[in-house]
Amino acid sequence: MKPDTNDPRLTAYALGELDGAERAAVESQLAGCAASRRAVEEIRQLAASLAEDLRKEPCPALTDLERLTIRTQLQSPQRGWRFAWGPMALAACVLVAIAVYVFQHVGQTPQVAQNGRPAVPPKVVAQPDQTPDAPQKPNFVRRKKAGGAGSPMDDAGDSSEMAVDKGPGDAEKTEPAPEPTPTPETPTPADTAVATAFRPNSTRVDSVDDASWIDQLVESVWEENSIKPSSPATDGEFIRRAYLDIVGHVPPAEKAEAYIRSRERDKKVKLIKELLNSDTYGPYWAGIWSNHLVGRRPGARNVDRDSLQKYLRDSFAENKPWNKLVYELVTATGGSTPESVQAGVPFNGATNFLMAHMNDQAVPATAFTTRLFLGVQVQCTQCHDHPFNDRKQESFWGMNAFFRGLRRQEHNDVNDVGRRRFLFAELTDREPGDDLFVRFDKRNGFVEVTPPRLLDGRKFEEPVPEMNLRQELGKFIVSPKNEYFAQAIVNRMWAHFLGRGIVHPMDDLGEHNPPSNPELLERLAEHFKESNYDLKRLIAWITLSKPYSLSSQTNDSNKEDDQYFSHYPLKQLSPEQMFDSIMVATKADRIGAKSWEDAPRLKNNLLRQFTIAFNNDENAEADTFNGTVPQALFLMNGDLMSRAISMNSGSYLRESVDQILEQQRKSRGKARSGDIELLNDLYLSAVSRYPNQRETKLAAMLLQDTLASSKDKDPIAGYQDIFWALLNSSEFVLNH
Amino acid sequence: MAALGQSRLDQHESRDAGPAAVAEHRDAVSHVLRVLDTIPDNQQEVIRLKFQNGFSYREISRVTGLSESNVGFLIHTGLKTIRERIATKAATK
Repeated sequence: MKPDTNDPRLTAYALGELDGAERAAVESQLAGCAASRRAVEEIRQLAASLAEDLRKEPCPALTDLERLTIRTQLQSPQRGWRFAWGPMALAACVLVAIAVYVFQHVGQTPQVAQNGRPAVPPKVVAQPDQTPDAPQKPNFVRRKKAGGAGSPMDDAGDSSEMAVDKGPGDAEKTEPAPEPTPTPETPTPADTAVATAFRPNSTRVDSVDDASWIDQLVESVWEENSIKPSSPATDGEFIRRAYLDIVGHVPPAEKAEAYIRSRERDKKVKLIKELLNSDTYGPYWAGIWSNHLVGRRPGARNVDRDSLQKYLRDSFAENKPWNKLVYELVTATGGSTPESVQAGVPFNGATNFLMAHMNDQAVPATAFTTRLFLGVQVQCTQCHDHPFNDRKQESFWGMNAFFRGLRRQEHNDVNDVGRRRFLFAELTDREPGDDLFVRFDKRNGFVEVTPPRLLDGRKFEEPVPEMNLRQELGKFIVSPKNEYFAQAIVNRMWAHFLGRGIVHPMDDLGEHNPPSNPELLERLAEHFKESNYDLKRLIAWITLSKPYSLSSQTNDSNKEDDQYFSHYPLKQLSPEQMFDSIMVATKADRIGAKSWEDAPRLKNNLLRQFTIAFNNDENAEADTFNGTVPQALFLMNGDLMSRAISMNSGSYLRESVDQILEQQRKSRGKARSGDIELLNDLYLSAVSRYPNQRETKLAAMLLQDTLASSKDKDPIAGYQDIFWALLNSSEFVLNH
Repeated sequence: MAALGQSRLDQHESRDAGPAAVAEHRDAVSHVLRVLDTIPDNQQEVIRLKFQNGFSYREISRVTGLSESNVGFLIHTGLKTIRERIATKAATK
């Protein structure tokens, strides 16, 4: 019998909807029938072009989130303890919305949705998810059910949460969810009330949590991908990376030595606690976040980077919960410099963040806020709908509308010669007028308007008395229901320590960019939320996890791996880390060398040298410490390096070598142990390890040569060469 | 799920694109989509759910209330018609 090429099963097969016996039947039909194979091929081609063309269509507007929510509900019959009411309610809303959509579009097909109730109970004929050929759904969605406690943006007003009275096992029941109350579109401040009464975290870390769940999640992915992780890093490597990553500089020689020699079983835990409690923790993280928030060179907008940094330093030092910190940054009001206090305006260094980005109708403020705190890139939708995801131009301008009430007032005084001098700027919010709408140009020349609109679609169309739009935005951003918030920061921190985010690039979360280990991302975010957004605890989990303790040397099975964290990454030191490391390695801070008295100025010069500011509308900048010729030259013979290895009196090398010479004079004739001590010290200072045999031998030869050629038997030039070589080695400039 | 009354429908904001978005889209609409517009609405509907939103037959069946085999049949018939119409058009050119 001739096979039927007009068989719906062929279409289902081509679309990956068949499995089991039906699939086998179709495959055997295909094996013996060229016409059927052709038909399947044609269907696949048409499906591909339909999918591509339809994706570009402006309607109907199902967002990533709505799709995800429907899926989550339909695909996960047993969600267990992690089930949350929010997504269920939202899914029900979406079903209503779809019913509305169906009504509008196919009013003449009564069997579809005359009353929203299925005419016949759906019959399960296929299990698409178990079909190997099933259309590739984003990984994110498929794994979501394992741990998804709600969708990122399900803070859709409390009333919707009460609308559904069904439990987790709903998906397999034939009755759809009962009709929910529609989501209120214009919430009042009371609707969006989020717990903004923040709880403080303990400043000191006295104990660390068990974070072996991280190891299990990472190991399961290694197993799935047949990856053998690298061997554990040496103690020297571990203390060096922990210092660099947590406090921003290499460990002092004696700390490295003590750690390497220690036989305590919990020395890692002790080290991490010590670093998290150290005085340099706050300043280091304040530096990192000042760079993120206003850049290294905040330009000419009278932005006071120092005041912002002070605010951040205090915040990180007291271990302020991350949600509180972000809320304060987004809603900051007050004076930008301490001068404001004299004028009766409260000083608030946090105001400098938004002040740096108020240009161009606060477009940069919109982009920075969503990117840094939510890990969401909306800036390209400023001018057009996003080409790769569902974000529309409206979502950008809807977010932008929250910043339109910002007002910045400069306070100056006039000095004796009549010149104006900037004192401080005051950040306030204008009273919202009657019209909250923002206008923007479409690419085709139309002008559209949008009210302030959050990324989850909620809008504020009418001004409500006493409502502060920025506070509403702040509440939305830090809401525990907004999963992007916790995911963005845990992903960013993971990228800081492991060189790459679980989602990469780290600030582009969304369904279009699935995480390499979705459960890890979700669990980290979940635990972080439960920890009251405690950054120190998050750092302890990550730094005590297995992936963080691996060597950077790869093996045959993981040399290609760059996303499953099976080896430690090689990370270029940032300019700040480089500078502080040279200061620590040369003990500049302790010997009080005169040559370092102007260290802060030098540091700024260095940072400028390695920072390129792009004067674009996103106020972006990048540090480019990536080995260009000028940078290599700077390391080889720049001002900083020549001071670091200076032989002048008061320098580290001079003092150390003088000590050795002194020792030798005292113990003439005995073994010159000072040599090897200083050599060890140089190695421990620069690369946190002892020299190996070969290196010791080479150094001895070099020192002998130097002594032989030196008139006054001064070995300092030899040490200088060794130290120079160490500070210029890739072992020094890389965090490995 | 209770019936959706007209009053509730009236309150609900349309999810359709605005005039500007429609105009923008019309400039770029493809041949396949023009053919898609010519097939019966119920077939269009399931095809859109399948390819625009990436739902599986089972999910579409839940969303629309149709049985899965009915969804499969509608998609199959719709795709077949589109293929035929595209082929006819190509042949007459």
